Amino acid sequence: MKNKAYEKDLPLTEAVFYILLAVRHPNHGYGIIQEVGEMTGGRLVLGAGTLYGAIQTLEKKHWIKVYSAEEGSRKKKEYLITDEGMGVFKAERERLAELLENAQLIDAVVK
Amino acid sequence: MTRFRIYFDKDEETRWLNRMAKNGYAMDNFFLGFYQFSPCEKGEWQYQIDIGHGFCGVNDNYADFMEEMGVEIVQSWGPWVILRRKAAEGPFELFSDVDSRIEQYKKILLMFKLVFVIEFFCLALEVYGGVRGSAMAWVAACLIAAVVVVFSNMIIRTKKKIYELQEQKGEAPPEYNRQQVSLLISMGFLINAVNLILQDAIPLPLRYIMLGLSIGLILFGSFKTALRK
Repeated sequence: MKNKAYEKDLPLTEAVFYILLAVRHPNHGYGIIQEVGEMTGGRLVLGAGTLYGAIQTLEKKHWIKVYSAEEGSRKKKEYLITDEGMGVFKAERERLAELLENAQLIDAVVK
Repeated sequence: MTRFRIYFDKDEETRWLNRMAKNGYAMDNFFLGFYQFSPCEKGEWQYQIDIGHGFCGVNDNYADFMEEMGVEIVQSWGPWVILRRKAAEGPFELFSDVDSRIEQYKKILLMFKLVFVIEFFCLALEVYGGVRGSAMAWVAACLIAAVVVVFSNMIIRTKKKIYELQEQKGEAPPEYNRQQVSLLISMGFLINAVNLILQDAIPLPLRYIMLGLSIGLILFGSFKTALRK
């Protein structure tokens, strides 16, 4: 496996998975919640506390970085995935692909 | 309108604040157990309580983030943060998964443990003072003992909540059967403290009755706690 370096960080929680996905382009807090909500058809609505905690952790791990902080009265911070975050996400995608592939096996027994 | 309440359990506090808001009273200030409410439309606000990162719960980053979410920081008290949002903006839940809920309870647990250790240390000091002959030290010792019991209960309760959530996640939490300590013990200590403070004002027979009552409560509470296991 080429992504061995990231294996210790896997699996990602669903929240982290979708947050990383939502910051593949610069995105701010409320935008992340909206985008994740749309992607999952309203199934996953991130709570403000969950998102705040995750952003703090991801920033500390250098998986995401602050892209811009608007100057002036409204300080909307935007976040962007880093190369490292991208690496972790791709390793997770590989893991999930393996899961999905193996999941096919269940069809052989169900008639 | 002002109400006096003491909550150590943030879930119970949240439920109470939301019940008040549902009845048309929005909490907008807190000071040492005194909650101030102002009239609002019934069910206009939804309240949540967050435990911030570090000793001070609210920093600029947190405040900006919550503002962006349409969440108002009503009051912060150390790491304890009371938040509210208009109900019209949809259901207001702080945490959307088990992991972040566990994280929060772990922070609360750490806080309770810290307070417990400090209180316990104070208790030892006061008992030492009492043994050396200070009457006021015994009063303080009784009051602190009552608080120590409450906090040991909160630690047990919070641990149980964490283990419940871990089980919900599919993890196998350690066996945990610790029972809560009966609050009658706390009450016994409180009555004894009152008895000691007011010893000159209370007539003698009543003082013996109160002393008996407090010892009785402490003993009965201890037995009750022991029998629960």
